[in-house]
Amino acid sequence: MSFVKSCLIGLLCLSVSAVRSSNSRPELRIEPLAETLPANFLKFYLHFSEPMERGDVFRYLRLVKVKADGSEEEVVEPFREVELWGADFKTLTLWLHPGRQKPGVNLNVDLGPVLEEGESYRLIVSAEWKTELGWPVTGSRSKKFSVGPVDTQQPNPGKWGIERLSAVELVLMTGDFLDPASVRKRIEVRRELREDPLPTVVTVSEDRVFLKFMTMVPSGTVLERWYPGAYRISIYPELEDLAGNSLSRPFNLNLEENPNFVEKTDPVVVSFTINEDLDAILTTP
Amino acid sequence: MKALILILALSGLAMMGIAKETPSASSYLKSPEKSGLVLKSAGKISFGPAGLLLVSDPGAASVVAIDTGDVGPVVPLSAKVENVEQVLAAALGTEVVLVVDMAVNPVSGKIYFSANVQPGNKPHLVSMDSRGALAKLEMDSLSYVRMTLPTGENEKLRNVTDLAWGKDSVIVAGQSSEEFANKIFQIPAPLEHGVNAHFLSAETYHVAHRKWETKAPIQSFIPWEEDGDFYIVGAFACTPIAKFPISDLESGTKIKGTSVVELGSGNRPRDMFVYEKNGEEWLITNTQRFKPNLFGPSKYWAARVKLGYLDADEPDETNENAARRDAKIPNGPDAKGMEVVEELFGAVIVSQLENEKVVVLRETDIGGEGKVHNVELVTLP
Repeated sequence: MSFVKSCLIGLLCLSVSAVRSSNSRPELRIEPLAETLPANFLKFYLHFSEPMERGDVFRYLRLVKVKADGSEEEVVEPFREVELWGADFKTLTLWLHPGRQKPGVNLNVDLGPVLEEGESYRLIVSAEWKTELGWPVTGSRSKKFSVGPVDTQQPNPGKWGIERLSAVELVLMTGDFLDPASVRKRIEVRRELREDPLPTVVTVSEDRVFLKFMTMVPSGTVLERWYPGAYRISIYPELEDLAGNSLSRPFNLNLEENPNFVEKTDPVVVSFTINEDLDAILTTP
Repeated sequence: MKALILILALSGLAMMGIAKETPSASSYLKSPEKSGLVLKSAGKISFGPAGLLLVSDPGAASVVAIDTGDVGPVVPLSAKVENVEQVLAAALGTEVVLVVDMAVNPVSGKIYFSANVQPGNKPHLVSMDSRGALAKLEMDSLSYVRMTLPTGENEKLRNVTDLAWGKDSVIVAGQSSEEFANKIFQIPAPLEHGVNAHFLSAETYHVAHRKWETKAPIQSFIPWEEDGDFYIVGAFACTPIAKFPISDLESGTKIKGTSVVELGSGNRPRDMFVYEKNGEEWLITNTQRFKPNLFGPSKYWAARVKLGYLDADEPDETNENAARRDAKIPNGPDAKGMEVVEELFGAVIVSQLENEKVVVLRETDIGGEGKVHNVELVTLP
């Protein structure tokens, strides 16, 4: 009904209907994938398969606390209500209000943090939120998660491990729940002595970063094998975890404990080799 | 009180008849395109001198400067325009329009809207004259330059939280989508196509309670000059008002803001400007309140503070010692120069025409879906 109302030009409707008949319904994927998030967690990423209706999106977003008996209680004013879209208007970065998540700031003092350790929550995206062309999003539109302790530790690549999961996939064990968007921007893999970063598909799940090496072909991309040889991983200082702590600095800097704190500004480089047995081995921490 | 000079004094100049001597908008543009303007998206808008319209285009990570040719004389809006969304929709030949931003041209009194037609989020610019008549800006025939915001380290900042004209330049506050980074750009005139902005600051920091230093995005700001130094005065999402010195800084310098006024938690600043009335100068900001409002049903309200508060420089009057508004005292002597402005209850967007005359986009369905607004001219107290 709403689609018919919103489809103002007959030809456009016919065209879109044809696309829809080929089974490509708009979908939503929510990051991070982890089922437990730190109490000072900062942001979700809502990845839609199509550009969405914009300008007043917070009416479609809710955060509820899930009680032990399964009932749900609304969390009041959980979000920073600024629409932060990616270039194609398919990805919305949804911030829990930093003013509530940061210690010592007035909202944190007055209202308290958004999340409480030990509790469970559900992020809910309303079915009323349509795509630019007026289509509803199908499939799951919510994410349930539990809340762990506050994370104040900066990521430390010196403690990372690496394994080769398959011919085409490596995994970094980071010991930290890293921000997925930050990982995609701030980690690059190169062959030793080469300057160009290797094109990789990066996914993050809890404290693991999965790296698939791919190449572009006319029909799209194909996965490549991680061949024996020497590689290096550049990790840039802006790399953040789910609580906003970066290699450069903690999200909240305690000036009493660190009066002369100096931010890190250089990338950390971790080298590894894949030997003839196709094992991945760190050569420098 | 120290000498405080608002950089953007266009309206005052116009009132004194100096506007005739102001250079044309085109004189601020270098090699402008004469046709072919296409906006990928509609974002925040603001006016520079002589009808120069500044439009942020988040989809293209850029700011467009347009010579509207709208140079006056000033004829203010004569009567309230009700349900402006419906009026805009009729003018654009559609059913549903969402207002993104509104700015009044201080040299003509015409009101400009950036708006999205839905469904489809198709961006439009529309002007409204003193009688409330609307005219769609025909983009293909406008003279313009498109200034691309610089790509930082491996990222583009495309979300413009505010923009303004100051010190013969465009000042832009932009926020990263994915990281808690807030950058301030300055694009000096003459404005030209491409990337010619430089970073005024890589990041801004806010000190809360002396103990914690945190990054904080600026929500709205005004250019400012004090004792010969150039500042921006900005408001954060958590409502302290802070000064950021930006004179003579190297591109990329990290700067720290000094909080000078605390308006109270639970508010999101939206617009900011200064005016003078009865010999007193005021800084005013309209905000969106999270919590129930103590003084009215609308979540949109405004506060004004005496401009002298911005003089604060010493540790005993800044940051954790900054002057705080007493939320329980709306007005009167006990409010100590931090007052609720009842004329701006429900004001979602406020744009200054000249001194105490402002154009207000005001919500009418308080407590409803917030989709219906009036536009009116308001005289501040």
